[in-house]
Amino acid sequence: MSSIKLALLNIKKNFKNEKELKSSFIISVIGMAINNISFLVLWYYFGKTVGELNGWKPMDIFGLYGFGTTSFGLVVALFDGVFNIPTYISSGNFDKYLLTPKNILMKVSTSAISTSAVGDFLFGVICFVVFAINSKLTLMQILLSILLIIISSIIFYSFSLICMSISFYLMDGHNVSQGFYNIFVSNSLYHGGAFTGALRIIFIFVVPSLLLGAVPVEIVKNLSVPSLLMILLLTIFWLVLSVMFFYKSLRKYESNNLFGFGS
Amino acid sequence: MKNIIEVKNLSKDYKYKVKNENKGFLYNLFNEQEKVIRAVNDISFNVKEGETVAFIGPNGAGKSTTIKMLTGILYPTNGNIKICGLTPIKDRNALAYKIGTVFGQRSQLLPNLPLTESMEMFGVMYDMDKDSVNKRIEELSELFDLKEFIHQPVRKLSLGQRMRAEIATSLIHSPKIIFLDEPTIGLDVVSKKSLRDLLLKINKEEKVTIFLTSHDTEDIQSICERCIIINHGKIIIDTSTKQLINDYVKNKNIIITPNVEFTEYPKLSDGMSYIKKDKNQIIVGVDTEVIHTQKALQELIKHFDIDDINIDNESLESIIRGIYEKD
Repeated sequence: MSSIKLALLNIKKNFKNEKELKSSFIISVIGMAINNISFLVLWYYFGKTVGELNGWKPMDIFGLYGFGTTSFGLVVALFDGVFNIPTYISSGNFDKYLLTPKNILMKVSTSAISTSAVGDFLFGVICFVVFAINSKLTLMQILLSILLIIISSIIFYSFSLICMSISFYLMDGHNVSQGFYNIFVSNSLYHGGAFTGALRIIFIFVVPSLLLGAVPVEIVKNLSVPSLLMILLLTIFWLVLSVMFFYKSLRKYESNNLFGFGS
Repeated sequence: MKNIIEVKNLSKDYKYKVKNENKGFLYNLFNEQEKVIRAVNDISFNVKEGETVAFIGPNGAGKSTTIKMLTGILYPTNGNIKICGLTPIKDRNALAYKIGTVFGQRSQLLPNLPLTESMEMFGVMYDMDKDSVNKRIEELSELFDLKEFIHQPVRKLSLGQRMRAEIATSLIHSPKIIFLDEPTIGLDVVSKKSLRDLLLKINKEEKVTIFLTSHDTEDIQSICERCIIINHGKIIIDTSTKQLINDYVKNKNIIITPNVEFTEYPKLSDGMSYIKKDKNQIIVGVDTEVIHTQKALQELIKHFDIDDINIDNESLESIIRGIYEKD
């Protein structure tokens, strides 16, 4: 419980720390929202040109971005420390999380926040509202969507943690971690109708990209209970696996002596 | 007094990959060989509560690796460590409440916020309530003279102020031991002096055991009663700082000021050599194992018309350099 209290305080202090530099905070939030809009417009016009593809309508792209960028924004904004693990390892700054009490994973996860991800989060919420209005979602579908945003956030956090923990095994694991992470994230925002057959199985069960946006959109649209149960079980699986993998990998940590300001 | 640090037969190996230079990329990709280097080799020592210990050695001697094993950052390959009765790697969480750490080149503070914010966060980390945190901040602010900059963003502090802030923050939970790795690195002479005085003060007033590594011999001489010297992963000397100086001072410098300017520099006996030849000052180095200081003095008085004479012991720095070079 005291680890959670500390994690919340950490997030609060990090936001205060970033807000001190107000102009860069505002620019990064707006900049990221503009960046996302360009991708959305691209995919929307792709959808309009191609028409309905494997049950996916052009407007569903808004749903995909709604789930995908909201969960991405939520996790990266609050737990950006996870994405800094390779840097912490190579610089030796990981030491400080081992030298203080409380849960190591929580301290590392909340050690940094990303202001630009606040832009992603806001953008995701707007996309979701557009999707909800256009698809005339019922109250139950909206509540289900909120649950699915939480679920996809947990999956996003878990798989990202696995990607970043690979760095414990390598001298300078930035590139490898980033490579796995890019495969995971980039496929999560591609048109959901494009994934069929073996490709769909791979991107659900091996690299869970489709669980971030495509599968939640399908669950909300079709109200599919088996799909909901599947995503719940996979969420538990990825979360448990990622925490176990992090602590197992931690045993491989060899502290470096590079200079740096910390963070 | 009881032992606060107990180290027995401690060793640490590092593994790294080596390429076969005679083979190509693909061969090396699948046939990389592993080499093992022993960074710390079977060392044992104890530290008593309240002691001030300098753990020193040349670069790559194994001091940082040892300190990282003592603080629970690294897993030892072999051996046992007990810090306040706890095993660092097993009881990492419990140990964190007993120790404070300062790594000179790394900051644990929030750069854009005032120091008080970082101290409050550390207070919560150590389960202190708001009143205890405020009281402790007040105490540390008084002790470390932080008042003039405690409300400034940390990134605006000078290096000297930041180091004071780092040490003060590491003491927020009143630890029993503080581990310092190069605490005065990069500081000017005034800041170094003030930091050394503060460390002595916390040792005297708060009975904090100090365990430090430093390449600055002034840190060692002014703070530490005891020196442990490590080289090639092994402890080569473990003695009191005073004893170290007494045992290893074999060179003295005789500094002579002339009545009239020096013009000639006659050849000196074995064991004596000119360190400085100037018309207004001569410094002669004397190896006391070859020639007694009294004899050397007599010879110099015979050669020169002397106005003033001073005798300096060899500095701790050159003593330690001699030990490293000999090992």
